[in-house]
Amino acid sequence: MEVKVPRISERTIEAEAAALLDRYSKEHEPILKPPVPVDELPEMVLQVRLEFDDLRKLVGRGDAIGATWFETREIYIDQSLDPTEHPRKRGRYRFTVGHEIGHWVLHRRFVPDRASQMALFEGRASEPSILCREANKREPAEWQADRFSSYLLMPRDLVLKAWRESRGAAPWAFDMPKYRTAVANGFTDSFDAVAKDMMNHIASDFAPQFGVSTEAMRIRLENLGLLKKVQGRQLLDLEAAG
Amino acid sequence: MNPKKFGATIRALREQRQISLRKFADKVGISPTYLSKVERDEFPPPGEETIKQIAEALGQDPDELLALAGKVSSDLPAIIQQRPREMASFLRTAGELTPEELARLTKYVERMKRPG
Repeated sequence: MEVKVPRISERTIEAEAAALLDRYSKEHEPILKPPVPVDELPEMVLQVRLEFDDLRKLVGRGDAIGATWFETREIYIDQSLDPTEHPRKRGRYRFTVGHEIGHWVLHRRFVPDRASQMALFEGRASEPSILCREANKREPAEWQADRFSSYLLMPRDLVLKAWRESRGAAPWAFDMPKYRTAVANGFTDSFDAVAKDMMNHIASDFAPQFGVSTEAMRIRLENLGLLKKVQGRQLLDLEAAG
Repeated sequence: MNPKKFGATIRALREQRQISLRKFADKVGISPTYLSKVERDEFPPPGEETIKQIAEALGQDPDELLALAGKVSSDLPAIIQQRPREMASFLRTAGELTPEELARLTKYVERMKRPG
């Protein structure tokens, strides 16, 4: 089901994620280094239960990976992402938990309370307030929850610190000279494709400590300006100057 | 002796102690999916060893939790079978005592045991 939500700025989403981590730090223990204890947050800060089950069976849709019930304060994660049973899914598991927390924090007030109007099944509405599937990734609410998860799992200060400690202060830029070297070494892909490969390679040094996928890490590093592409007009200027 | 209530009971105890589902599952050595289903009484109570781990993690008496799961500790049948007549008669008689009397009796029996 699609949830109608207003536009929320990146800055607001980042601030909401940071505020939640702050609450955890104050009420429990300070988060000084990654990974962020994302699966402590629902129960320990939000008083929301975190459950695991076969969502295919529970809600009858094949590609459901997360679901949130606002009325009964429950977040369900599909058991295919269980981090103990499937350690290789750790990154996706953590991102999905962060994503569902994002719905809770950002969207709860925009979803009408159904407690009085819907048939309750064992004390809870049989349909979740929000159901997250692979297929509806482009809806605004889903996109916002993804951004929230990214900010939650990779907080600005922790990422900047990790980058500084391993690579110094300077960002890494993929430029035309680097591309030419890559081509000379046998790369045949486009500038953008090679840039992405190289950036993923760098991101993979950071992804494990944050408990996220390489892809998610790369996007966050780009978003913080630590990984970038220098191309087009900028590049022409550079070449003219050189 | 109500296995239906086992899950709800350990969930209540865990939440009182402010331990998250994930942390508790790790501590006990089971997956969070399994714990989530046991706590919702979707799954029957786990085996004896796991229940003993759960009791330890919650600071509960293992025999109480086993009873809640409709089980008895596996060392007890062996004790009865070793001396079926005496043990069965002893238990039937002692079963009529009040908790206080039982506690006194246990202390008395402990004193009767030879040291070493």
